[in-house]
Amino acid sequence: MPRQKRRKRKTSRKKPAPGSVRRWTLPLLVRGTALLLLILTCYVVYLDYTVRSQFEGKRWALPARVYARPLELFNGQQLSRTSLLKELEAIGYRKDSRLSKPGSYWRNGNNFQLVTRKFVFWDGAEPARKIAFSLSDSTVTHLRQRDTGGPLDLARLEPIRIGGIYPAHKEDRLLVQRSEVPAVLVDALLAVEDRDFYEHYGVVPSAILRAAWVNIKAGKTVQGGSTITQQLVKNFFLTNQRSLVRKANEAIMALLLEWHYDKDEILEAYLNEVYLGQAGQRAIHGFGMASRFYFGRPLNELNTSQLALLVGIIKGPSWYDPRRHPERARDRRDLVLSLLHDQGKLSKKRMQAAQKHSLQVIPKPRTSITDYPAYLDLVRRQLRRDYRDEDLRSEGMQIFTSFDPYVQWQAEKALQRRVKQLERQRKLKPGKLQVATVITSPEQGEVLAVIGGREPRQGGFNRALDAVRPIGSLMKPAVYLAALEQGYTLASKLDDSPLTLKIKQDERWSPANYDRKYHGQVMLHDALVHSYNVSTVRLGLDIGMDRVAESLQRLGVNRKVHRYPSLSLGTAAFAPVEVSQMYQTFAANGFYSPLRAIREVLDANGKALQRYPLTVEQAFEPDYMYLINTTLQSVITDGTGRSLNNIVPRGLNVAGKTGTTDDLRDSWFAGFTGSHVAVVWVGLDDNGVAGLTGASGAMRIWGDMMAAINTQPLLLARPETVQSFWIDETTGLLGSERCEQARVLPFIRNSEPDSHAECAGGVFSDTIERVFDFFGSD
Amino acid sequence: MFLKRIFYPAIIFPVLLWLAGCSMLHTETVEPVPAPTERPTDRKVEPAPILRPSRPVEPEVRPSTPRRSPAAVTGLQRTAAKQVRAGQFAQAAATLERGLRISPGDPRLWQQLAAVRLEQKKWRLALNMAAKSNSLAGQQQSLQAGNWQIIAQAWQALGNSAKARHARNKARSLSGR
Repeated sequence: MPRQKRRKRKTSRKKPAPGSVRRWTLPLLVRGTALLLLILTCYVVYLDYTVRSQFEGKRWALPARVYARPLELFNGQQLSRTSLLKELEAIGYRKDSRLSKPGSYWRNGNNFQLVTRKFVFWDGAEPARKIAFSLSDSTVTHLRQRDTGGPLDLARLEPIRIGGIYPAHKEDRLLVQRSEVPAVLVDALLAVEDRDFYEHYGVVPSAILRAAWVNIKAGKTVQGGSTITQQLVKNFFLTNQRSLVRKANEAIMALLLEWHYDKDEILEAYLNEVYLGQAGQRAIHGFGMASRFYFGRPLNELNTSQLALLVGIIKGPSWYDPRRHPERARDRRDLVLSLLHDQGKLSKKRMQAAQKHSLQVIPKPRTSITDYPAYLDLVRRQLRRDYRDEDLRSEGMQIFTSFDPYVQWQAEKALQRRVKQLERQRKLKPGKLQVATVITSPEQGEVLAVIGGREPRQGGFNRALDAVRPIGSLMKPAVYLAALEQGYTLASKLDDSPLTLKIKQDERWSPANYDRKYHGQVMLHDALVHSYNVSTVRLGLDIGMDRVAESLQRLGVNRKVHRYPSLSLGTAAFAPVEVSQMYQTFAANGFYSPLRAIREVLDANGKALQRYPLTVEQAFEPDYMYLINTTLQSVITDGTGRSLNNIVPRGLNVAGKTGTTDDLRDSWFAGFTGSHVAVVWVGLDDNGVAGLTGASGAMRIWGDMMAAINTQPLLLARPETVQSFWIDETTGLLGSERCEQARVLPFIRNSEPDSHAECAGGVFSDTIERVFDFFGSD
Repeated sequence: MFLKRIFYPAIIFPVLLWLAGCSMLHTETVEPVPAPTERPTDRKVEPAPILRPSRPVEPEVRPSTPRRSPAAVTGLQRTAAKQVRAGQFAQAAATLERGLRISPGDPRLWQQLAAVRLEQKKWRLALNMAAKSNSLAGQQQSLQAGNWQIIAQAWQALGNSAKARHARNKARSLSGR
């Protein structure tokens, strides 16, 4: 075949060609046109392929959505009115006496009525329902179904969205389906952007010509003749440049799109694609997200005037930004409303009513990606263990966390106030003092709140996870716990007299106490309560540094630590979150649970992908833990944490420990109540001298935070194997109330001292005791 | 064999059965939660007597006597029971964990979670959960006995007969009293 062709060509060439120009023109024209058509066809096929593959594939990279814990409502639940109202505001509930739609509530004194929204959780959908309840003394009572009046055990509200994990271009959208979109929105959109949408084939030549004419007359682009299909094509497939080629591409692709897909599919894509605003780096696309962004609630709950505003914004999301240019936005909205009326889609009365509305826009979210960067950072790090980053950024996954917004808000407020106060008090340069905190739930190890710096809403260095600092005396409970396991009791006598250790050949180390005094023989209990250093170093050496390190590891600290004697005084450095893990095990009575921020992960359609279940591992026997934890309570009643009682009520029975490092560089406090474990670090980023002890810095912030949140008293469960005895403090022997300095201390059965102090009868009492034992009484 | 045939049905089954039927059996099988009146309330620290000077004193905080959980928790237990019956153990665990967020100190919930984990053959988790339940059980001996049974079963499955035997004995002595 090719040979034949070649031959033909050869023969034609051989022919003489006098005056052959005319004879040549026609075939050339035909061939040229044919070639052009071929190229054009190829090009159209290519465009067709592009259009179909992109339109049918995954259309958008959807960011992962991260949610706070849902608020559970049940009788007996502790819930203040303020926190409830803030929660309702954050999930966009509107006060409405008619309770007409889901997402509305009404309050009459302490009586609440809610119409909840449907929401899909890991364990299924929570239906939309009408509920009522009362708050008395910040406790939920009389929870019931409003329509039936029947009692209701438990209801949960939808969770607050606390952030997202975004694709590189930071486009944020919340997909809506055509069927969910209010008719008014579609009417308004078509009235403004494309009246003949349901009639044309994607392109309206007359409209383009008309627009071209107007533009030529004006000398600039004043009118666009684009249909909605063309606009979609432009945004979806093409770049933003203006040129004739692009315009042609746009037209061809619009025709192709219309050829392959029906009108509603195209409209749905447009509704999700269109750009509607900017929040810092985050670009708001589609009506679903725009509705949340401007009004804080889902699209199907918006009224006519709000829908008209959204349609109006399309023309110029920056120019018509209702937050920055409310007047302009309002005029535009009213224009949309009157267009709706002109086309017979809205009665005059309803138009006028809608035009009377204010803009009803919620304040702009403070930052672009999340208000809680430190917490989200933790979530991302935990997710990265199981998911690829690109999937997190594009698959629209739903991440349910244990984040407690109320705890976070209160903690932020308390912390910011106190940090400024501390700076003034200590005459520090303003803006320098830094802080970090992690708050968790004791029994489950769920992370409730994280603050990574003095400006919690700003991202950047996340001190809660990354500021690795010596923990000072926060280490001591680990040392004492190990000692108790080795047979020490709370009444054991420790030596707190001067000590010098040979570290290297010619290097010596003499630990000192904070008060620069030595205390001679002290009870183990008191050494921890008053945080004596010298006796603690001796205790650590006695049980062995390996045991101290092992104790730390069993408490849940994975970081490798040195084995020098100074380990007992906390010269090892940890991040606040690691200290949280360590104190979590104390708070949970010796049961270690890895800290978790994520509860469940769902895919974009609500299908469960993964759950992060509660796990526990018994790391210490409850009786040793009971001894340590009661001692940590004494730290607050009698020891270094005494001043905490000026901030939080005594009845909370807080257990905690202060920590201060050399030259007052780091100020730490770790402590727990019955429902919260919190660790606070305060210091300077450059490791300079902050001039704060654990008690004067971190503990005050801790106290402010706990006083502001609704926290439960700590009630330690005394194991059956533990008994309490009067102990004479000077001798550490059995005492009685009559001894001058005596206190009640818990002991694991049969580990109590076997002889009595003089003040308690001395040897005589010992004898009587033996007689009793001999007869086996009791 | 003994374990699979007799021990398992006789001891573990009742725990699951209770879980499965907790809604119906609730009133009959509920642990005798020590009523406030049973607790010696205002007993002050006794003055040291001449005789028996070292007698243990009453602690300031009494051993925990778990308070009754809110009705919401009972509802969740009922749901978990249904899920157990349907063999949906992961879902049952999630439901019980939701209960624990409401009532973290409820030893019964921890025990039920342990039973679910046992059913899933997550032996270590089961025995740790049972131990956790024990640490919160206060004076509730039959609850403790149930926990020791779970622990025995888990150790047996892990191949540690000695620990299993010890746990079984614990269970017997607690339920015998």
